[in-house]
Order: sequence, then C-alpha cells, then structure tokens
Amino acid sequence: MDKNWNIIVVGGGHAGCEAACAAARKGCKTLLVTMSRATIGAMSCNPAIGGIGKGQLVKEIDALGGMMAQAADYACILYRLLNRRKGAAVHGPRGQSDRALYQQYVQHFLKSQNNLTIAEAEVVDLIVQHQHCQGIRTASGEELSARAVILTTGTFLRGCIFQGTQRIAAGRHGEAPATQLAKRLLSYGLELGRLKTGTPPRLDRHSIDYHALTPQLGDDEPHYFSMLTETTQQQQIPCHITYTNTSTHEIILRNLGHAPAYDGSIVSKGPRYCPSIEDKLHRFADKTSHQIFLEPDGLNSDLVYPNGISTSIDIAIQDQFLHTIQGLERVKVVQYGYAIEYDYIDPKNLSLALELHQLPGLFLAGQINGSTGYEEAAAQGIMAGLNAANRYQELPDLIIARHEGYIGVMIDDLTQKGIHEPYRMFTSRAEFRLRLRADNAPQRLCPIAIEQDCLDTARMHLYQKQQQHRDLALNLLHGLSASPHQLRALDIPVNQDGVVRSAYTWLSFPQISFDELIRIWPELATIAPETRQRIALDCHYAHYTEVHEREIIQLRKEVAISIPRDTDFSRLDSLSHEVRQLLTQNRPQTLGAAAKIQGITPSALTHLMLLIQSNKLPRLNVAEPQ
Amino acid sequence: MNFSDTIFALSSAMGKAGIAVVRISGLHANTLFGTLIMQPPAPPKQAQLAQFHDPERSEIVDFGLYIYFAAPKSFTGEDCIELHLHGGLATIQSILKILGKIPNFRPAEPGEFTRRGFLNGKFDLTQAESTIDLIDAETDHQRRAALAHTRGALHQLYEGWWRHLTELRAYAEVCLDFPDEELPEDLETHILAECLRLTKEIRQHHDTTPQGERLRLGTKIAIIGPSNAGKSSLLNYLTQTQAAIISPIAGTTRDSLEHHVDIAGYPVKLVDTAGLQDTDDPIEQEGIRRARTHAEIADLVMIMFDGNQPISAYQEFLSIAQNQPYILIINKIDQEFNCNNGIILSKFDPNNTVSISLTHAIGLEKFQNLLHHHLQQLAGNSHAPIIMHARYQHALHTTLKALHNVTQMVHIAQNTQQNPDLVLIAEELRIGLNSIAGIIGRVDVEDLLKIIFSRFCIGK
Ligand SMILES: Nc1nc2c(ncn2[C@@H]2O[C@H](COP(=O)(O)OP(=O)(O)OP(=O)(O)O)[C@@H](O)[C@H]2O)c(=O)[nH]1
Ligand SMILES: [Mg+2]
Repeated sequence: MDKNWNIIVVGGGHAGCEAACAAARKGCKTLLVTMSRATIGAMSCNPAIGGIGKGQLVKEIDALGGMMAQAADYACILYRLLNRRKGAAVHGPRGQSDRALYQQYVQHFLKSQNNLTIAEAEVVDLIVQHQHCQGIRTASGEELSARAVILTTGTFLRGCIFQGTQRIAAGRHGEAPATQLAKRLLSYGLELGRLKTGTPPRLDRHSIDYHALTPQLGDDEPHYFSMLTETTQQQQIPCHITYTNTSTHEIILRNLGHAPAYDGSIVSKGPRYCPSIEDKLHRFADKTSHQIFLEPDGLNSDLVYPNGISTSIDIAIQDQFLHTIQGLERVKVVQYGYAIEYDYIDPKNLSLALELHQLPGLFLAGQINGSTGYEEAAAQGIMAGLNAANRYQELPDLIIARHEGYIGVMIDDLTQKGIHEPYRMFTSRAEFRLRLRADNAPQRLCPIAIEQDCLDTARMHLYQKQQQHRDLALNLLHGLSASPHQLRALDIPVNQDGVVRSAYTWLSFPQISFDELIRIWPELATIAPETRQRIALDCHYAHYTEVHEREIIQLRKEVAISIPRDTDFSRLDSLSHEVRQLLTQNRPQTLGAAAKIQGITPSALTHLMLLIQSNKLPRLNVAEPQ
Repeated sequence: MNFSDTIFALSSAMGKAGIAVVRISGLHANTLFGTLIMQPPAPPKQAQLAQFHDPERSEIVDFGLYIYFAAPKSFTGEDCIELHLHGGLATIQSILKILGKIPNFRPAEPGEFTRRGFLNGKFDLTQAESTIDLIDAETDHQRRAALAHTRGALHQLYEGWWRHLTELRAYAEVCLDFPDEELPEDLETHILAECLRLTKEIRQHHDTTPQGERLRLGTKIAIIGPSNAGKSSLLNYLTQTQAAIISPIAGTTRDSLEHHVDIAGYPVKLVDTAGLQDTDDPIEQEGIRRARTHAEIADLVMIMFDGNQPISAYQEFLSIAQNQPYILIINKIDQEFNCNNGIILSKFDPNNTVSISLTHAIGLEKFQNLLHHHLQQLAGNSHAPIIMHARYQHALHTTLKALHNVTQMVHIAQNTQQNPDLVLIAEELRIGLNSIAGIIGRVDVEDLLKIIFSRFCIGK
C-alpha cells in the first residue's frame, strides 16, 4: 500500500466517513483506516436519523456537500417532521432507517468517492515530528505519513461494557477496544474524561404481538433530508407504541441491586436526556408508565429496537420486565441491553477547527470529543475533514459561526465550554434559533461550501436556482404595494392607518398569509410554493432576526477583543481562585470566549477587559527557569 | 491586583461630632507607620489612639484614632488605613498635604476605592454599584437603602425572578426540544398564569424607580409664591442657615437658589425662587421664568402666600396644585389675616394647607409633619429594595415588555383557538430572561437544561 497520503482518517463511523469524503472532495489524497471494513457506516444505536436539532444538522451537512442526508433518504422507511405544529424554526426532520440499507449506501458511496482509499488495520500509534502529527503506525508496524490525521474512533478508547454484574472490555458490542492508541494519546498529556451510555435490548419482531398496539404512521408529505432527493425511495412502514406499567416498574425497582449504575460499578456520567429505564424509575417515582417506541430495524430485518428502555440490568431481569409490557408478553430478546463506559478527550483541547492544541496536525471528531449521536458525529466529521484539507492546502480554517448554523453552535460549545455529559444538539442551545431553520440550510451554508470548493455541481445548480427564484420573488414583492383600504375591500382585516405598504411588508403581518397576497395580486401565483414558504417564514421571524443582528454585532465585538496567548491567568491575583483556575484551564483567546466559560462572573470579565485595555495582564515569563 | 499607586481621600465630610475620616489604600499604606503615625501598626480592625505627625516639620498635627485593615481583608482588598481626625478643616488640609508629598501616594479619583475593591473581586456588579452609593450616602435613609443592596436584598430579588423565568422558559423549551415525550397539557395556561404573576411583581418594583432616584439624588422641592411672602425665610429656616438674603423689599430674590439639605433623613434639593410678580425688569423676568421651570420639574412644590396681603393672581398656583404634589403655606399668621383671601384658599386641599409664622415659630411642627409625610410618599420606605439605577430599570423594562408580548400571543391564540407559535413565546422568554440575567450576571443554557431534566422525565 502507498505510504504517503495527504490526509489519513482513522475510524469508519459517521464522523470518519464524512471526514474522509470531505477531504477527498476537496481533492486531497485520502486514506480511511478502519479495524473492520464491514462495520463502515454501521448504526450502532437506534436505526433513525434526524430529530429536533439533529435534523437541522443533517440538512446543514447536506448543504455543505456531505453524505449523511442522502444515505438517510436512501434508507428511510418512515418520515416524520417533528414539531410540525410548533413553529417552523424548530421543525425537525426525522426518519426511521433500514439499518442494512443505510450501511450499504454509505459503503457504496465511499467506494465510489474519488481520491479516497479504504484500508483495514489497527492504528496503534501516531507519528510525531517537530511537534506535529505527521502520520500513523499500525499494529503490523507499518508507518503511513500524512499532512494531517483525523481521529474518529468513537467509544473505542478504553471502552467497557456492563451487563448486570458482568464487565467486558470492548468497543461496540463484539468489537475489541483500542486501548493501545488510548495509552499513546494519554502520553501527550491530554485530559481524558469518562462517560457512559446505554442501549435497550433488541427484540425479535416475530415474537411481538402487534394487534393491541397503536401504530405511528409517517407523514403524508415527507420532508426529505437532502436537497437532491426528489422521491421516497423505500417502502414506508409504521412504528408502534407501547408502555411500561406498574408491574414492569416493580420488577425493575426490586432488582436495582443488579444494575451496575446502582451497585456502584458505574460512576461516570450518562446523558440526562437519555436515561436508562432504571434511572427514569428512580428519579421520577410518581410516573406509573413510560412510553416505548418499537422501531423496526429494517424492511427485511427481524430485529426491533424498543426506544425508551435502555437498560444494563441483569439479563434475567430484562426478560422478566419485558414480559409485563403489552405486546411483549412473549417477546424473545436477540441481544440484551447493556451500558458502555468510555473515555473521551476533553474537547476544550481543540481549536475551533477541531485540531488538537497540543499536537497540531491531529484533528478529532465525533464521540471521542464527548458528543453523542450520528448527526453530531457526522457534522464534526465533515468540519474536521474540510479543515484538515485546508491545512494540507495551506488555506485558512473554516469556522461556522453560531449564527450561521447548528454546526457552529455545537463546535463552539464543545471547544469553548467543554462538556459534563454526552453532548447532544438541542435547539435551545442556539441563541439564534429563529434564523437556523431546517428549510434555509442551503441559503445559509451553500455559499460557504462554494467558497470552500467542496460543493458538487448538482447542489450548486439547485442552490443557484433557489436563489434566483427567491430574488425574482423578492423583486416582485417589493414592487407591489397596497393601502389598508384596498385590503379591507378584500375582507382582510388590518388596521386602517392609511399607510401604503409593499407586498413584502404586508407579508410580515401575522394575519396575512401568502395566499391572501395572491388574492390581492394574482401575479404572485407564479412564485413556486417552496419559495413562497421560505419568504413567508423569513418575514414571520423578521422582527426577531433583526434584533439578533445587533446581538451578533455585539458578539463579534467581544470576540474581537483578543487576550494575548502568553497571558498568565494564574497570576491574576485579584480574581477568585476558581475563576483563575477556569481561565487557566480554558485559556480563552478572546473576551467572547472567556464570557462563554461557565463560572466566569461579569466582574471577572470587566476586570479582564480593563486589564487587556490597560495592557496590564500578567504574562508568562518564558525566560524564567521552571 | 497590585496597583502601583497608593491612594487617599477624605472619605467623609466633617460630621456632626466633628470627626473627619481620611482613607488610605494601597501597596505603600504601611509606610505611614513610623512616619505619619508614630507607632508600629495596631492589630487589624482595631481602633487605636495615636498622634498624627508631620515628618518634615517634626510636629504633631492632630491627635485621633486610626484603624488598620490588612490586605486582603479590607474594603479595597489592599492594605488600608482610616484616620479619624478631630482638628477641623485646617487639620484635614495639612494631613492631606502631608500624604500628597509621600512618594507613590496620590489623591484618589472619584469612586476609585470602590473600583479597586471591585477589581480585586470584593463585590459583584450590583454590590459594587450600591457601594458607590454607600460612600456617597450622606443621609440616614440613603445609607439604609444602600446597605440593603450590599447585603444582596436586590440581588436576591432579581435572582428569584431569574429563577422563575428560567423555569418558565424551560416549560416552553421542553415542548420544543422533546416533542415525543408525554408532557403537561395545560402548558399555555401555566405560561399565561406565571407571566401575569411575574409581570405584577416586576412592575411593582419597576414603578418604584422614581423613588429610588429621589433617594439617591434628593427630592426636588421648589418654593414659589408672590414676592415678599417669606420664601427665602423658609429656605433659611429649613437649611438652618443664612443662605438666602431676606428683606422687606419685594423682589429681593431675583434668581433661583439651590440648597441641599437633609430633612428627617431624606436628601432634599431645595430651591428658593424669585417671587412671581408683574415686572418690566428683564433680569427679574428671567428670574420668574426660571422659577416657573423649577416648579415644573419639582417633585414637590411649596406654594407660599402672605396671609396678611390680598392674594391677587392665584390661578397659576391653583393649576400647579392640580397637577403636582404640593403644600400650601400661609405665612405671617402672627399678623392679621386678610379675610378676602378665605374664598381663594378654600379652592386648595385643606389637608395640604398649613398656616405658619416663620418669625414667631408658629405652626412649624404641623408643617414639618406634613413635609415628612410627603417625603415618605415621594422617596419611599427605605427598607424595601428600591431600584437604584437606570441600568436596572432599563433591564426590567425589557423583561416586562417581553412578558407582555408572551401574554399577548397566548391571548390571541386562545381567542382564535389556534396553537401559538411556541418558538416565538420561547424567544420572548429568552429575551426577558437574558435581560434580568444581565443584571445578576448569569446567562447560561446549562441552567435551563438542568431544570428541564430535573422537572421532566425526558428521553428514550
Ligand atoms: N411678620 C412676619 N414677617 C415675616 C415672616 N416671614 C418672613 N417675614 C418677613 O417678610 C419679609 C420678606 O421675606 P423674604 O423671605 O425675603 O420673602 P421672599 O418671599 O423671599 O421675597 P422675594 O424674594 O422678594 O420674593 C422679610 O422682611 C421677612 O422678615 C413672618 O412669619 N411674619
Ligand atoms: Mg426671596
């Protein structure tokens, strides 16, 4: 095999695949190294893509030319747009995937990607020269060089599986953990943290009694993930809903002593938003029932994923409690639920380009950074891939700002604030949520992708056509005007203030829909429905997005006050010990970054600002002997 | 933080007991021991008797107390010394002069002690601002209100609202971020009820703003009336000075005269004005114009008539009385009362009317009581946390507006039987919350998530 590469990606999960494809799309000679070719593109948790916040991430990946959206559309067997009734800004596209089809698509996509080679090997070491990561060493002793290495090894760092009283050192179920690489990383003095996550048991479809269960059907008008997708590609099948009951709870509570999280063997933090059934019962004792979604694993699969009852309790108890649940009275478990504990590398060690401060040339993406979820991993993957390619091509870093995309929010949160629990995207994390909609992802990110030279011609043409339609429509809307009097004549109730307004301005009135505008000006019917909808939404949120504009400027100002790199935060004697420690740990490079650190008080910020402006920050004295 | 300069200032004017306090803070404050203070430092925080010495001339300047505060346990976080002087203005001046000659010593800029304390992490933002007020507090009521702030009464109040708003936002957010979960159904009713409750509470506080301002800057009282009624005499009486010239000649006061005075613990800005009378003298005309302006902007107007003289042009005074808080004072009741005035005076509120004689000290107690009553109304009860700053007022205003918008949206939705745009409700709550969070310095999505995950059973 060739020994010299531009970019090497380690790991074939969602982050690794996007990273490798992104680097290859940018024209870099890219190698993806995985322990097992067969597991590339595997969905290790539940077979679904998208959701609230996550769906937006998928749309953003798509607008940057990534793969995930297309794979999700190819494999989708049930489309649902979440939050349909709660306001367009939080519409979250979600799809149930056929696990096998998804993986098939990804593997095929990677194979046909130009500039990309896939190799099977265990990576045990990094090659470091001149304090830069310049390649990898495999278990067979082979050395492969590259300008940048992207590590996307997920939970493979010192993974440990818990099931009842059993503990098995492992990565995902049945795979060996990459402990050697973990030791190697530790030797570079990186801070590691430990997290846990869990999965439910997998059930045999034929042993479930579906008659008594409520089906959940997909949307009549599916909302596709990719801007390239035009039709539904697979047969659509429903999910089913069932519930736990008091007998279920009784069994679990009686046996909490057989659950590793409760007998003291697991001490690491799991995600609060994805608790095990043990946790739910323990913390919300007054709830007599919990919802379970029975998600099909695929069209031809006999597996069912019961979403809502992740557990690591003893396997005999798993059988017992499952049998108390309606529809699952005679269920057969194919694979029992388990919890997994794993190391992550504190993402505060990373720059906004996802490059390790301590070891330039090494990029990290995905679960290794403490995030959870396929979409979060893939989004970091594409960014790490693009940035590694930029490093090779000696171009500046690509950083998506918090107001430009959920990707920007996530990477900023991870690298600047760090994490306490597996990081998942929530829309409430995005202060500029109203402008980060699923439907306008191309508008927000395609221009960036074009500038980065990573957008395919098909998407580019689609985007340009969208923009043309939009511009034409806006011209039309700004050119037409009417008085409140004219509107009243058409029975549209508006305040009779006598002000003549453009069609565009009238659209921002909550009581005036686009259909109403067409009644006034029939020529507006020529505007395509998607364009109508997008413009109407822009108008709907315009008042708020204009206010955000000012916040964004303020944010830019704070970010513009830079803190010298050689600042000795430990000698800021006037600040409290805690604040000094926080600053020393986080080493903020701008006042904006300092402001985002949890626990930094406004007085500390004012203090910092005064010191920066009066040039009185204590500096690290390098000349002084240690 | 070590500032290279050591600063000093007279931090209290000569008080009633004739003591003045000079405060010194900084790295070199200790060098005073053995020079100005002819003894080794006393244990921190203990008052110590000492002679204060002029090292250049080797003579004793004053005999008084000092208190030493060792860093960092002082108000500024630096070494601090407080000198309590007895010897009057001349002594103060010579001490300040001596201090100014010491290398690295310089007079403090206004508020610099507090700023140092602030920069040394001695207070948070609300505390620091109240502390500036504390230093500036010249009167009892001001001091009490300022003290309540420093102890965090205001901080507690804002933090309470911040917590409620965060919870309310959590209610909205949980529905947006976790739609598949089984969540409370009465969400909108809950949001509406909470919004109304919070609005009421915050509004009540917000509306005390002018009171806070008056407590800080002083209640403005204008004395107006016809010439020669005794207005300047009243000012002199209230200030216990001879600040204003008094004479039997009508038109003695030609320009407005401002005087700061402490009345029953309330700071008052008292303005004596030119008597309102017809005149051709352009200077007097200007004086009268100014008198009217002062009356207009005053928090309280004291209208003064001479009971002995016929009151002619009273319409103007009556219209002032109809628009502003006022006290009507009939002066010179030691002399015969002009009966023709009875009808005119009956047009004013008898509860706001007092008859006095300034020269014969008649009716003054009743007058004082009425005045105190008005001051309490205007400047407030100093024990309740009162908004001290325009900054807070502005922030609360933003929060109130956001709550109003939420209420509005829920109402419209209920009336039209539609779902409100929950995203916009959440956005308004975010705006309102951030505004309060800005005062107390807590803006973090983690606080929100913590509430969401502890209140609601989320997750699959
Ligand atoms: N008998 C009597 N004379 C008084 C009383 N109060 C004030 N005077 C006298 O009334 C005269 C006018 O008093 P001022 O205080 O100068 O009156 P003013 O209202 O300031 O007059 P202008 O400044 O000229 O408008 C002086 O001679 C005072 O001594 C009072 O209660 N009784
Ligand atoms: Mg006068």
